[in-house]
Amino acid sequence: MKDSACYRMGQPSSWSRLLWAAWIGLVCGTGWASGELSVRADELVAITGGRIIPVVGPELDRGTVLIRNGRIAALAPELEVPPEARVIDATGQTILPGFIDVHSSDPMSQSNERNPNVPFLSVVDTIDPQALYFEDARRNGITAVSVVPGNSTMIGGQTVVVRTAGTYVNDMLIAGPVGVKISLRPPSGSRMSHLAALRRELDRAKGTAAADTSDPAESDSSESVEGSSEEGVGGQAQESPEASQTSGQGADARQQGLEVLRQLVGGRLLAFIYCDLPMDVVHALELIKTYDLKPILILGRECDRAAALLAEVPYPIVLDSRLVYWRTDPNSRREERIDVPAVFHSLGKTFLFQADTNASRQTLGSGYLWYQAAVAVKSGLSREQAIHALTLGPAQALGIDESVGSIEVGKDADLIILTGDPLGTLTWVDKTLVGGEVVYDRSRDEFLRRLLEATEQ
Amino acid sequence: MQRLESIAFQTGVGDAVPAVWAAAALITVARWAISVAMLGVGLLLAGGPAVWGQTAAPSPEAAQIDEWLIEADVLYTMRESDPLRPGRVLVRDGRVVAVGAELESSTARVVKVPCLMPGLIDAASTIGSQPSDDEVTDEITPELDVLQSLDLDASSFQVAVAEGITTAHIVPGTSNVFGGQSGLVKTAGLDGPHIWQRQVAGFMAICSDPTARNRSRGRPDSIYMRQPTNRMGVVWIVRAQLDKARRSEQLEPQLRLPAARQTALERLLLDQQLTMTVARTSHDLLTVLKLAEEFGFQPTIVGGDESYQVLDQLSAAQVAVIYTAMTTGSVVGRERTELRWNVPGKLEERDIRFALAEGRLLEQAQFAVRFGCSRSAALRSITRWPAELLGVGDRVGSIAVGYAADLLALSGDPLEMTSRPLWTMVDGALRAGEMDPEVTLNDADRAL
Repeated sequence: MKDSACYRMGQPSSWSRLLWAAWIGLVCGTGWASGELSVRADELVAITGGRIIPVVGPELDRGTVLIRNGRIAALAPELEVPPEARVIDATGQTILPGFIDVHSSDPMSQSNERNPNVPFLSVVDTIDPQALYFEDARRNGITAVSVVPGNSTMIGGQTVVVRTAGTYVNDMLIAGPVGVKISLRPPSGSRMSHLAALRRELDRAKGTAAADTSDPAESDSSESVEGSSEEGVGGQAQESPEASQTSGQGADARQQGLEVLRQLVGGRLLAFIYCDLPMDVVHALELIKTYDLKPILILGRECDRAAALLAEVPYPIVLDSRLVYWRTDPNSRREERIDVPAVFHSLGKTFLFQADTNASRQTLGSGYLWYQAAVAVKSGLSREQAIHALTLGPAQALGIDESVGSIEVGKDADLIILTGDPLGTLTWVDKTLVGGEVVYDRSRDEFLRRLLEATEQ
Repeated sequence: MQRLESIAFQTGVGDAVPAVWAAAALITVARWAISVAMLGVGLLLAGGPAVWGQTAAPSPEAAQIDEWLIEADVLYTMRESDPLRPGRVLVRDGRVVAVGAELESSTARVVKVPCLMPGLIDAASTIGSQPSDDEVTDEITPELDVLQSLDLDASSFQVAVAEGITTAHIVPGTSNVFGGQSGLVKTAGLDGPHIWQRQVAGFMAICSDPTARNRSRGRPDSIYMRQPTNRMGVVWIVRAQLDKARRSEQLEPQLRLPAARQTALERLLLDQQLTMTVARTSHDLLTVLKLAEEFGFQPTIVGGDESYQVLDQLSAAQVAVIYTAMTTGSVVGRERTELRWNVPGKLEERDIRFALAEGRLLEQAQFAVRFGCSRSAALRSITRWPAELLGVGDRVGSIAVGYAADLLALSGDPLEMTSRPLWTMVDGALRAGEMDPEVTLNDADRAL
């Protein structure tokens, strides 16, 4: 990603490297004394004896994955392991590419701003590597997460993709900015004014994008911003209180936001478009066409009603976390079971999953991506398709499939080792590797151990 | 009478003006007169309590469905030597007439399924009723029957049958200290869901639920004044009522409990009926055990969220737990969520009998297994054990000769999250899902 440089702050500073080394030293020195697991990124690692599901290419019943410098160096049923390699024995276990969470606000301290129009903000500033989300993610086999602002917004800010392990957000960044969040559900007010305000913003970006070489026309655009709030948009596109206090800052934010939207219009940035209701889908498709967006559509629960429309377009879709629900016929009061994955699957439309970790969840497992995939298998998806939707599918949708999403030579060694069959009730993540480094080890998971061990008193 | 005593329990009664007292007493007496009258009418209409307990299982629709032979690749009977691979079940007139690996029948319709198990039993269900159905004019209503407010047309029954639930124990809400009588419902039949048994258990809420919305600073003379306002009050009401019921003979007639209430509480004290107590926190659970010891009844816990903290005590008292905390949506944070999932395993370790309840039973069993419960216990906790806890273990909850043909067919192992329910049979009739079209086509031919 060429834009990632602005977040990487050039080369990693020697200071941060020093801290990183110190941290690893601390970990090796205290907890991970066994040596086998104190895997460093610059070492040679061999995962031997396990069943390998590379997602791309044939499955290996028993094989070895060789990792050099954090990347996959080789993959074969029979492979001579160099003597200097550290060996992780995965006999009887299953090796998969790490799962990729394509849409989550959970790593953010707050998922939305009060101001619904903030394209100039980036989630990179709100990611806390120490957040509980990341620990849980590693435990559940997620190695990369696309952090996207929540749905209560209009233009919610820029998204990034991060690994789920690291000390600083800069270490974790895979790509960013990747996209911009757009929601078609108005946080307040009517859908009419919401859509009108959204179109106005995109029009402005499109206009300036066309006339890119011309005069900045900044005063022009900020004038029309003021004009727009006088037009009775009723809080839809108001400036944040801070921004409106000092018009100078507001204009800066405006300008920055405009730069971002220019990349969005034309498809240099992805558009994560949230469609709350089936009625929103048609507007989303119209926006995509009008502004030449490159979308990932985030669907609300009942968007199965728009399935026929969605099946005709090639855009990636992310299903609501509630994959199966009951719809009551208002007249007959008959309950109809709506199996959302089955609806899309029968139309030949592929889809991706999201997890819902907040308290409103309707099933026990909807906080877990692997559970969502299991439910989809229940709905008729093949296991291969379900695993694809957790790995390479989201990687392709996010445009990071060059480096992650499958076990292929040259890709990052973001892998998970499962205790058994993927999607099995009794299957746990045994180890999670990010960049060839073991970042989760079940045998050292104190939380899980206490949960599962017999009560002693 | 009783009401005045309750009012005295409130603070600040001394300041009340005599006139207000008189008015309050009048209103109270009037309220009681009306309730008693209404109850009397209710009893008359329902044909008296004697008939209630005998309401037998509905006769199956013999004319519609005659005989099935269900061939399962894997058959879970919930009896010994589970599972049978393969196993066959012969169903006639709504009942199971034979179970075995090698069964034949020339007259039955043959159905093949990957997996078959007994219909699920939800030991604490609120389908067909709503929290707002609680009778809040009084906090002591042991004589009320929750089935009177049950909506048998509720569409949630359709969802329950489709998810495999064939018997539901409908429980009263927890707004009252004595919530009333629960009942058993078959979730489907010829005319839809129907009541199977009344007066299955008497309910108490030994938790803070009955204090919700009650204000300690209200006007004690108001008819909207409700007790209790805290947990002390909950326990006090239980003690006072049970004590009064126990000493009824020695009390002046005007101090005695109303007859219906006295009868209901006597059943509890004499252990003539199941007593179910809703309790969630560890100190509430201990309170239940203490009250049970004091008054000599055998409680069944409903809720049991923190039962993992008092396993020794529950085990010693041989108390069963209807565990409803697996699905709770109110918890925040991983610890409080996932700690709830390992409770079934902990209960099993201590040989504490338990049932999983409140819907989504298969999914609950799956998570119980993932978090440490054995397969056999997880399956029994949604079938045989709740049936036994509810006193119908000889008629439902297992697949055995003479049992109701309540069956659930699945596409695979019931404890795998990738398996789905295919169809549900209640009393020998298909009530949800579809049987394998190929098989039913042949059968149709044969039937003609």
